[in-house]
Amino acid sequence: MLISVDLITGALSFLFTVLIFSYLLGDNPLFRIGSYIFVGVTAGYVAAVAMWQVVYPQLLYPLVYGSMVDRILVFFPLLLTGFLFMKISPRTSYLGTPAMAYVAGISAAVTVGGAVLGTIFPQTLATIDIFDLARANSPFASLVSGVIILVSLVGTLAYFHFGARVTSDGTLRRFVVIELLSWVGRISIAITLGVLFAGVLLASLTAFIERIASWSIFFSSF
Amino acid sequence: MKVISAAFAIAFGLLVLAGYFIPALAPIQAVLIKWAGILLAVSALIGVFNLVIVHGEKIRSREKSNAYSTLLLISLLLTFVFGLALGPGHPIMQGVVNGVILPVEASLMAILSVTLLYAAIRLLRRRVDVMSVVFLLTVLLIVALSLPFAGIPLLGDVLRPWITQVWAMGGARGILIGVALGALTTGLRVLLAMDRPYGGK
Amino acid sequence: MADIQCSICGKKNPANTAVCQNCGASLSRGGESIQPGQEPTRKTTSELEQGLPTWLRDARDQRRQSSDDEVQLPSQPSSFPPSSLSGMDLLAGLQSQSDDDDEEIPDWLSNLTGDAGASKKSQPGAVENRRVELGGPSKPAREPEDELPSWLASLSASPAAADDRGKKEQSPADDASAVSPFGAFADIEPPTQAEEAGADWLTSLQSDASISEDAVGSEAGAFASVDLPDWMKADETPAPAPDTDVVTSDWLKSLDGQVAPETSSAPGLSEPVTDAADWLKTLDAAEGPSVPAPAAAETTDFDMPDWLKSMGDAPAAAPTPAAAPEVSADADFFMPDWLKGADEPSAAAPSAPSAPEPASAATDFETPDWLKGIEPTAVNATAAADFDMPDWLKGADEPAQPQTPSADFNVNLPGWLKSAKVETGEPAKAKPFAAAEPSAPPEPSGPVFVPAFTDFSMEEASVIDTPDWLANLGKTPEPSNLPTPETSMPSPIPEDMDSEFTSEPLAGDLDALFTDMPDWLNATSMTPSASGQQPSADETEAEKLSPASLPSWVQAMRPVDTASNPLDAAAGETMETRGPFAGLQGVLPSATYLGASSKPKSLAIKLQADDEQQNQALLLEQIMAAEAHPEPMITPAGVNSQRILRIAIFVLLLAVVTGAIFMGTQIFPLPLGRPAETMAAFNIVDTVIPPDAPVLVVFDYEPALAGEMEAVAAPLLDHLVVKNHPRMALLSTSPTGAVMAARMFSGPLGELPAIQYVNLGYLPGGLSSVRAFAQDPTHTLVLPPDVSVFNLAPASVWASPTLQGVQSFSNFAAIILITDSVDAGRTWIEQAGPLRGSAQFVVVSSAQAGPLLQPYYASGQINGLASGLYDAAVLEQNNAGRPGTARRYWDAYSLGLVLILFLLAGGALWSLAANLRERIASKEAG
Repeated sequence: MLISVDLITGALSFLFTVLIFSYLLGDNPLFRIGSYIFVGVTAGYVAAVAMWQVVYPQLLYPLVYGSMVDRILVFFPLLLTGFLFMKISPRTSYLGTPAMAYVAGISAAVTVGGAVLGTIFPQTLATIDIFDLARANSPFASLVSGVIILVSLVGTLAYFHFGARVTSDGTLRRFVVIELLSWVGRISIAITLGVLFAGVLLASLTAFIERIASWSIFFSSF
Repeated sequence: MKVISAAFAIAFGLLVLAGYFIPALAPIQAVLIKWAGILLAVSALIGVFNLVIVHGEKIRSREKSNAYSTLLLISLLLTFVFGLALGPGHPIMQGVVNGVILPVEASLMAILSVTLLYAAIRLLRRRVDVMSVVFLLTVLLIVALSLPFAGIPLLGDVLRPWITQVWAMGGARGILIGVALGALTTGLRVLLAMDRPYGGK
Repeated sequence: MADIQCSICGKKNPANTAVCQNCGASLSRGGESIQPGQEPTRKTTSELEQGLPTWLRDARDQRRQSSDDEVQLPSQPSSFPPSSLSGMDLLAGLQSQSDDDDEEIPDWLSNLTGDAGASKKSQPGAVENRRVELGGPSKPAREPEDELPSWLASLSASPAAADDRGKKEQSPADDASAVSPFGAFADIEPPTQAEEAGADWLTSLQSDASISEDAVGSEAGAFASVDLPDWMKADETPAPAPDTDVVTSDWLKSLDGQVAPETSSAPGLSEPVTDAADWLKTLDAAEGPSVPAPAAAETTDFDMPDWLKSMGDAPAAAPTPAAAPEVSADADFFMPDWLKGADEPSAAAPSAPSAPEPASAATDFETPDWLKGIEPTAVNATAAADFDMPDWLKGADEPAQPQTPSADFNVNLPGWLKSAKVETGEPAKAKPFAAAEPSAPPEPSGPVFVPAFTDFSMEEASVIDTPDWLANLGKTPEPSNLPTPETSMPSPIPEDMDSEFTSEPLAGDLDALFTDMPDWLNATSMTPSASGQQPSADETEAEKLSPASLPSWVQAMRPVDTASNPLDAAAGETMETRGPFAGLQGVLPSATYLGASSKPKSLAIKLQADDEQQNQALLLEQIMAAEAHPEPMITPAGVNSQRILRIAIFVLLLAVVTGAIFMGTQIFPLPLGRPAETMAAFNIVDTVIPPDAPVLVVFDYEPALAGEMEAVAAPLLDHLVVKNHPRMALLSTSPTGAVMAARMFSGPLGELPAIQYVNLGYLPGGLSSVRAFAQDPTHTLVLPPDVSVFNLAPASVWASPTLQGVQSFSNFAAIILITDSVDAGRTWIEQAGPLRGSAQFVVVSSAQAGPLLQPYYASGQINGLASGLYDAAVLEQNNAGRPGTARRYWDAYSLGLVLILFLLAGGALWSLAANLRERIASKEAG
């Protein structure tokens, strides 16, 4: 009798789902078995993916099958990869620092560029454009919405402003306007976080439903 | 070595940042970012190798949880060997993902619903203030408005969008801008070598 | 006789010399140093004259000079001509200090000279510490107000004056003169015939002195062999009658009177006493040419201290050795204890500075007047205890053994001392110099003179009363014990005395001061207790000297016999030739300590910490202490209730969802609402994307939310595929994205025919590579994801017909991003959005990421947004209910929401009530 892959997959899915659900009863060996196997499988799969979809096509394939330009271009990442492998041993760990520094610098630059050009400017402009009533379908609604959004936005930013001064009685107090905006921002943040919480709750419920549905499919296959 | 590292981070980082504003540097930017991606993938390999060493040491020293470490190493080696041999796209590998990785992650997400619900129920027992009350009321409203009240169109068409697209918009935008500002500050500190997360002072 | 080799300089000296002619060091018998237990060899005082320090010689000379100017009164300390302070003349410094009445004198010096208080000089003849006038007995007594050392002044002044003077604080000059009796011996010259003629003071000795045999014997032996110094020679002239008002060296006068017919007895005095008083030794030799005290005072060529000069002048008022054989019971007289009789212990009263009575000086023996007043007082006793007396001085502290001077005594005494006859048969008690014991007042039975300058035996010396100034030098040693340097020498040395000693380099003569002891002193110290002398009944405990209690500095100066100590000899250490350590080996170089005058800085051993540091230390201590005490874990109440609540929620949820799923109910209607962003996404897929256009679909979600994402993305993709037949390129920034994509197209979209797609695989580097892909997608990803060992060189993915015409990111007609996280969506929007060109950007997200991606839709950075199962239901309604995943999940989803709603509301209210109840309870509890 051939055992289909789907049957095995279904069985494994059901098994591991039960193992993980057992955590509701507390930390137990079943949960640990399921979590340790999960980590091992994930690590092995990621390593295999990294080997076949990064190391080989990006580093080894150009050396073997690539042109001279490709080979020249691959020399630097190959060198950095070699230095990065020095991180395995504590004695040679310092040799991998330049490679890590390269990655850190690239990541920082990408983050800076994206934050400035992708969020700060567009979102600021979008907040301003709300008050462009000429292009709004409903100016009044747009205006009210704009005011609410603007006040919420400024209040949220003011809530995270921690600059204060020492008063005559020795206590630290923020500026009155900042304090007022912070109070408004506190309300806005609470609403936003409530919405986010609800979204997570709904997403997890959906995942819960999916799991139960997989059981249904598994059991229905028999 | 510290100077070289800082020089690497500053030089290449500024070059990539310049590519955002100078179109002529776009190809260079692409190449540099590609190389960074390669190194990140290699670092994932190094992390897996370190995982093997740690659990191998646990097994060798016969620590208390060495049985679980044994399971981990066995599953890791099997998956890696099969993945190397068959390729990640092989149906077996997909079966491994569908049979182990996905159920576990999904189950963990499913348990999260119970935990979040329990936390929301006990919120007012621990803390009663404006933020907690507003927060909880918002959650109730969103949950309630997500119900398909077919006979009440205002609830789904007007009220829910008004909450999510107006009242939550300001806070969401403020959070996004605040996160972007924080990322900007952190990135600039790394580019200026004021922070060195890669090691060295 | 064979020549004697000096142990210091190594020069050979005649056998009959007691002092090295080269360096002035004392020549002990055989050149050997005194060993513990060894009786000192008797030396002739005159031989030790050369051992006197230069300053002492100068002082005596000056005294002699000044005594010429003094007729009636004792010579003034200031009358001392400025002495040319030669190198090692210790007494030379007396001149500079004589004018200073305020200078202090050390206790040990005061003991040497007698108490400066009134105790000594209260009554004539009282046995108290009297200052010994080493000058001629004809020397007039000094005035009380003289700036002489008190002990010197007391020797020459009247008893009343001595009382006054005694009340005064001893002047430094007194101290100076009293510090180094050795110094006085340095310049002692062999007594001459002139001295022998009888100085007044010597004459008084003959009549009044009650000299202990022990104390005097050795000293007498020493003095017998030593020529008297010139000043003593001058003093040997017949002295006038003893004057009770004059503190003169009656004992010397008496000695002079007794010794005068025994001039030739000088050799007899050369008992084996090494450190005999040189000056006393020289007195013997100088008896012949001795001149009267006034004459001696007038002599200018002598370095004579005032007290010595006064002794010469004293005879004007004090009995001369010839004219006053009786020792006046002058309390002002200093009389060595060894010169005193048996009443010395009773004469000296260490606990009562005023106790010594002059009468005690002449009780059971003919004590010279100057000896009668010599009594150790309490102060002196105390001071005596403080300083270390040399052996030769300590020897004088031994209880005086009353002993009748033998015939040999008269033979060995110098002439001037021989004239001082013992008129009473009462034994003279030898009183050690360091004796602090009060000596009982001597019985007025007549002067008893035990000459000190005869060839005394130790027994004889014991009967000699030691003067108070000698008696107070140290503790009273037991008769059987030898005095030790530590207990016999005074330790406190006043500054002026220091200056005296340090201002001038000490000549080699000074070495003799510290190494040689007059014979008469040695004899006193060596006198065994078998002499039969019994301590006076009045002798108190305090006056008893501790046996072998030499001061430390005396012990240190005691020559070390290298032959007997092979270790020292074998060490090959250099011998000190100068300074107080002369003759010693292995001492630290004195040069090292020159200039080290500062007291070492006292360092506090207590840790200096301020309050903050102490508080921190205390805090650390508390932390450390807390680590040692494990605290029991306090399990919060309600741990079981929490777990039960969680299980209940799970059970309820499971029941509801399982029932709905397994039953396949479709009770709850799909939502009627049409969110704008959701409809925009649907419209893009429906109308905007052209047919057969390349569409990039990014599967950027984790397997955890695969069910939700598949439920939301499936209707949209289904509509896209069905409507437009696009050429889709699948991409993922997650390692499991490819599997998710495959799951999507094999699951919800599995029923769709011939979907054209190509899997670009895994984009390495995570979200950082999005920019690179957006910049140059063809070079960022090259190989397809199905590369393996079986397919090592697949064709480039961009060569696939599915991606024909796609060379840049902007070539895609639409970009559909399926993500479950805000970061992934934000990254794609930030990095790839500006480079998409005209491509439509649609985001399909999870319900947890939707609210934060909403602003991007509002800002126009994305063209459509669908999030959560709610929007999936909306999309399915617009897609004819296809694929139906949302519909299948909707009843379970709705029931779950209802359950959550009720649980959330009810639980919140219950928690609120519980909280308020706790607050009220806590407030009531206070």
